[in-house]
Amino acid sequence: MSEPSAPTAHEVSGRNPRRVRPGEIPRALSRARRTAALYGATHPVVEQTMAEALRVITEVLDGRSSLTIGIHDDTFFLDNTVLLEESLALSSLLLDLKERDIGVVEIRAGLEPRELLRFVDVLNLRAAEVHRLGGAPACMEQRDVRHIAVGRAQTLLRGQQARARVDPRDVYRAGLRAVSELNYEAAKGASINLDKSRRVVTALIDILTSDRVALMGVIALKNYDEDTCHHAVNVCILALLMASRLQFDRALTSTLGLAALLHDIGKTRIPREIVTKAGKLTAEEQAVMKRHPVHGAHLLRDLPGQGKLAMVVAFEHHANYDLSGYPRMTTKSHPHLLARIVQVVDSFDAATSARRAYRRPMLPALAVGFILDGAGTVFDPVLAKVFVHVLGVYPVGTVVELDTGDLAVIRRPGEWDVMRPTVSVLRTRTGTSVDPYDVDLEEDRERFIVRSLDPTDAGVDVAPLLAVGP
Amino acid sequence: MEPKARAAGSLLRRFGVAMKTHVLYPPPNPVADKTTTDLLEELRGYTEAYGPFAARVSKHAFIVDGVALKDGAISHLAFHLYTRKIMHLTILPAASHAELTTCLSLLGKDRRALEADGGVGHLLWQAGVESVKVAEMAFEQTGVLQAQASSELADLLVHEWLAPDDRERLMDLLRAGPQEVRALLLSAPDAPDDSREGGDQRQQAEQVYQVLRNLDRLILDEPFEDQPQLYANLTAALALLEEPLQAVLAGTLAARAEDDPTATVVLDQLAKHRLTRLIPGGVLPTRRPGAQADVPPRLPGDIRGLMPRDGASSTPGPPEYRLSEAGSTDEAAVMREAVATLVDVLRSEEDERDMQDIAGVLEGYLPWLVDHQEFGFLQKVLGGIRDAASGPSGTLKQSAARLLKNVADGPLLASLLEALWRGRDTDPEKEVRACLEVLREWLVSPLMHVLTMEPRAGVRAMVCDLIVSVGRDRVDDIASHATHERWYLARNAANILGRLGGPQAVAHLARLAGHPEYRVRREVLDALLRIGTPEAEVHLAMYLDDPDEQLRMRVLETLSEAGVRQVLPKLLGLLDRRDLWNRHFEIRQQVIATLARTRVHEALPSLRRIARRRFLFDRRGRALRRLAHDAIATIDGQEPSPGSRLLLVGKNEGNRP
Repeated sequence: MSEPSAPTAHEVSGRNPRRVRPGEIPRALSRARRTAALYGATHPVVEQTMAEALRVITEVLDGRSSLTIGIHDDTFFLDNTVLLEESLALSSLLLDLKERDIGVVEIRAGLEPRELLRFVDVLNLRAAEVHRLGGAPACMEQRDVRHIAVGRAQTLLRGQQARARVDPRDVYRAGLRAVSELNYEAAKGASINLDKSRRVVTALIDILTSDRVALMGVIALKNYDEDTCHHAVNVCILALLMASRLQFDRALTSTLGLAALLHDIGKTRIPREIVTKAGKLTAEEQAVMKRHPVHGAHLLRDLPGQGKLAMVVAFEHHANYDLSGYPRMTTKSHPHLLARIVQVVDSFDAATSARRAYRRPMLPALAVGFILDGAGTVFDPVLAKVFVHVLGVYPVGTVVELDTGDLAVIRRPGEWDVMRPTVSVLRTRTGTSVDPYDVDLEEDRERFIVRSLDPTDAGVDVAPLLAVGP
Repeated sequence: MEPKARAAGSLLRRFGVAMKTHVLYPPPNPVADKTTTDLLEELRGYTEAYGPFAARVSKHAFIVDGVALKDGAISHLAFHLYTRKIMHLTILPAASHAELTTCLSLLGKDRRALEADGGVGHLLWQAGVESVKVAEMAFEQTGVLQAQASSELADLLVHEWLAPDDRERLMDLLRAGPQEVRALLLSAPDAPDDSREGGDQRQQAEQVYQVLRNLDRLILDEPFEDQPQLYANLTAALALLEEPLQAVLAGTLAARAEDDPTATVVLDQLAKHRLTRLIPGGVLPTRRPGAQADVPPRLPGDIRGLMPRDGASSTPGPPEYRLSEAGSTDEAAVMREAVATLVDVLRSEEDERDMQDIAGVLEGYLPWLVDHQEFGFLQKVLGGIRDAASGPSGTLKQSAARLLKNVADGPLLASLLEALWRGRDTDPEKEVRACLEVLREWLVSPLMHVLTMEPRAGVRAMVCDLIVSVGRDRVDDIASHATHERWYLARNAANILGRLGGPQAVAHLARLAGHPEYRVRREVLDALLRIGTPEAEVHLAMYLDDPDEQLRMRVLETLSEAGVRQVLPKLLGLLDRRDLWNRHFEIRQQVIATLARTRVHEALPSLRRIARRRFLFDRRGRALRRLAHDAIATIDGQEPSPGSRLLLVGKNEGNRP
């Protein structure tokens, strides 16, 4: 190694500025409440967490006069944005607020640290004590808190519910956490709690019905491999997109989403050194790895109702349409419909997202071709075609070259023609960067796509281009 | 729950009770003393079985060996300890009564008082308690977790699936900044501290690398928008490592860059954050381009076929496709899918315990199929299990056979029989019979048992029919029930054995030929006659002495020539016996008719003696003489005359049952 030099201040600090997510407010409040309960109000750690909470609140307020945190149906809202991840992760805060009859917390600009501390103090009072003192609003008044107002939960009207926004990225985050927890429970042999997963799937279905393309944008980033939570969530989203195209009813769509989320849960019973092995697996390791569908079925065998199909999917998602895969199936002529759907989307996602030293991720457009090549043998022929119709030949996020020589990225699949999506042009044929502008190739019949390109080779970072959400 | 977790739960409950008691009745109150003694006893049991007791404390649960214990009382105790900042509790086997008393008294104290006195750990140390150890959450003013906590997290990171709480703590560390990440890297399990000499630097670097690799995988599961900051902290932490560890680690990363994406990612990050000075030579190692296996060289022509023709709708797939399968997800369809899958899971299992679990689950589903009259599907399922039971694999074979035996011997059989009874003469009857046919190997004993309990004659007859259809190879099993104290069961067994017709049943039937109950003997006689082997006919001779004349007559009517020869001495004895008053007229008449029917020449002397008798004053004597005449003529080759009494005897009684 060359002469080491002392790291720079930037290197050491490492605290890169980033956008504060709205969901960080309940998180910061929860942390503040916990440290206050543990250390008492005067401890330096409490001061630090209070300061952090105040920073987060100020940043989210961002010049506005106030923000409102609401609770409806066991879900946190910030104004009208659903905070799904926090609703799932901060269940004790949710419960404590409800026990104290706090359904709305309005935080106004100008909040002072001592007010925040007093608010946290009210949260840490026993619920009975709060009621004895006349309720949370009275407690706040007694403590002279002027910039935080609390109130009872209000039933959201139908119109208000309709206005509630769910950020696909937040649901995606919640999905990652839910899968992570499921993996832990499965690995430890504990009973699997599907409540959070169900809520994630429900939220995804809600987004799907309102903005399908937003979901496609969320899953377009592929910097992970098939053994991560991202893969499970992406397979779930892709499966839901298929369900939408196949016009499944809501119950079946939900079952499919859940099954897709759980399809690889059997890998939790494979030794971690095999699952996360960087290099190619040996024949013995492959044999162990191929047991994961059986393990998955074993873990999901006790799910009630339609959840049983999750077990079927976990067992059959590598069996192949012609039963040439694994494990061996003896009682059916084809895998179950849901398993066939999950197999298609699983294969696509695994092929396009590989982060292995020995295998480069496949370009999405080529992976679509790979699915079609296997139609009728590995994949259900009808579902393979449906899949192409859902994603398009060039899925969202694919970098393509147009016949004009321009470089573009796919923004949304074509409504009528799978070969003619809407693209966002990034560079001209001379390599000059331009302000991205959209071209609907279904309307502009003069231009067409020549080929797809590897984003790294093309020097394009697609992540900022795919930013979705409100 | 694992036995260890169960034992730990019990110990913790005892701990909670003791602690509460110490608060209410502080020592030396005898009540407190008693609870401490109880706790000590429980602790001894635990430590003898599992060694020292060690548990992580989270807000509402204890975690023992990765298992979360959080039922009511335990959850309260966890919260109590949590609010006293205890994150880990260890009780060594050497813990004494006095040490436990001190510990319980301390833990029962008010939280603020404890903090003011320096915390639980400090107070235990002050009191000289060595066998109870606690690790406390201790934030310094900078908010850095104590080194012990970091070490524990690093250990978890390498060896365990992370609990959500642990994961969150790790992520907090990763987000906190490079200093915190550096502490985490250096707290790798068994990682030597910075002061070690160079000989094991490589080993140290390897351990740090492993933590690095696991952190990379942890970051990989984070949302994409959070990853840059996390990687930046991780990379900056590497820059904070001391020499020579930093150099050795950088070398390790460079060497692994070809095979391990973690090394590649870290090196990329180093380059991105302008830290290439840490990379040996200052440049990224050239990476071997990964293969894109199975990539078709071009888009398949099939895609063209997906494009809609002019004016066509883009909705893909024939509509009936959607209707047929997507619509078939009612409860019954789901159950069928689940059960069929479980059969395949069972056949794919390798672990014996898992196999038994799956077999248990599968068995639990079968009654539903019967209740919903899914007999055709049930037959398929049972067939699949039977195939597994007849396979070569030892464990699978045993598990499948055990499952089928349980099915055949359990309540499901009663349900199937009831379905069979209700569905007689309908299509389901065939399906139910087919199901039972699959179970034939395990069915005989349970069906015989049903016979002992079933009061309805019709059902009993049906069960007998079933046993006949499935019991061909199970004669011994059936015969074992023939000696049942209830006479009707012996009769059923005899009936079944006779209908099965196997020669091996003869010995069993012979034992019943002397049964005190007439109806049993009659059934045995019928059975022997049905079997009809020479061996069976030997045993028919016993019936010639049967107290019941009808049975004696029946034997004579049905004996074949071979049978007659077997019992000829006995028959001739009946003819030659003195019977002045013709009290045995009917039997002797039947004997003569039988001898004539079977044309046994050896009987002629006896018949002639009867035919030559004179001075017969009664009608019966004369009838016998006429009969003997006719019999002799028949044996000599003449056909009996139309009015012959021989024919009448035969006609009156019939030949075969």
